[in-house]
Amino acid sequence: MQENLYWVLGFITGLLIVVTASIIILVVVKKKNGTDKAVEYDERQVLARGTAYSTAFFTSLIYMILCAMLDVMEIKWAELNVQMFFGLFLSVTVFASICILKDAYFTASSKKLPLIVMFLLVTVINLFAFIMNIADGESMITNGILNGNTINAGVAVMFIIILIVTIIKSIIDRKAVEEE
Amino acid sequence: MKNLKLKSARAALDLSQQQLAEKVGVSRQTINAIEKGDYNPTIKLCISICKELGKTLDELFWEA
Repeated sequence: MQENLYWVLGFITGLLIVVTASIIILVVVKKKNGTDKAVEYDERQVLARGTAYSTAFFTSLIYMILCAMLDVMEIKWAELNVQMFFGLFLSVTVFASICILKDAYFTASSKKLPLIVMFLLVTVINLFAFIMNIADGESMITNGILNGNTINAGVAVMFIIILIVTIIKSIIDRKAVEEE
Repeated sequence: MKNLKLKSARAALDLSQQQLAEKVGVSRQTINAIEKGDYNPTIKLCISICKELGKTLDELFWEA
């Protein structure tokens, strides 16, 4: 019981740190740019992002229905928190991939490279955490279902897919500019 | 339907898609999508493009 309380407290502390750091970074970036222009999307991008949001929403909905159906049929495949996080990763991946493919992920004034580097960093950190867990002898499966150790792998897979889509789109764009 | 009038007006001023995009405050892909006929811009963006290219709305966007 006490161990569980420590875990919850640790989780909340970690979440607070991430949220605080994100707010600080956003404020610093806004001040540096002087205006909000860095986060402005043009009219076509706003429409494309709307399509992406809607597709991600329905993907998430279908995923939740599938999870619920599997649960009703008493087919257990992952712990509850793992199912929740995988649903989150799935919808984020769908949203980001559609935005990237429709040129609506990066604003006209934003630079791709810093974001790609950040994606790469997050991928490496999560892959490293996952590999370290496995190397420490921890299993990905408990009682025949996926456990929390797979969440790091899920994050890594999500960012790898986003990175691959970004690279493919960059190649397509480069060819389009050359053809112009 | 491709907007060849826009493409030729831009080329006449020796502007790349990127340069025109920067002038009107949109992404290069948006200009590319308009020229390819994949996206119908709002009247606001049409006017911005016309002003930058020194053309009227009829000259660039009217289909006879």
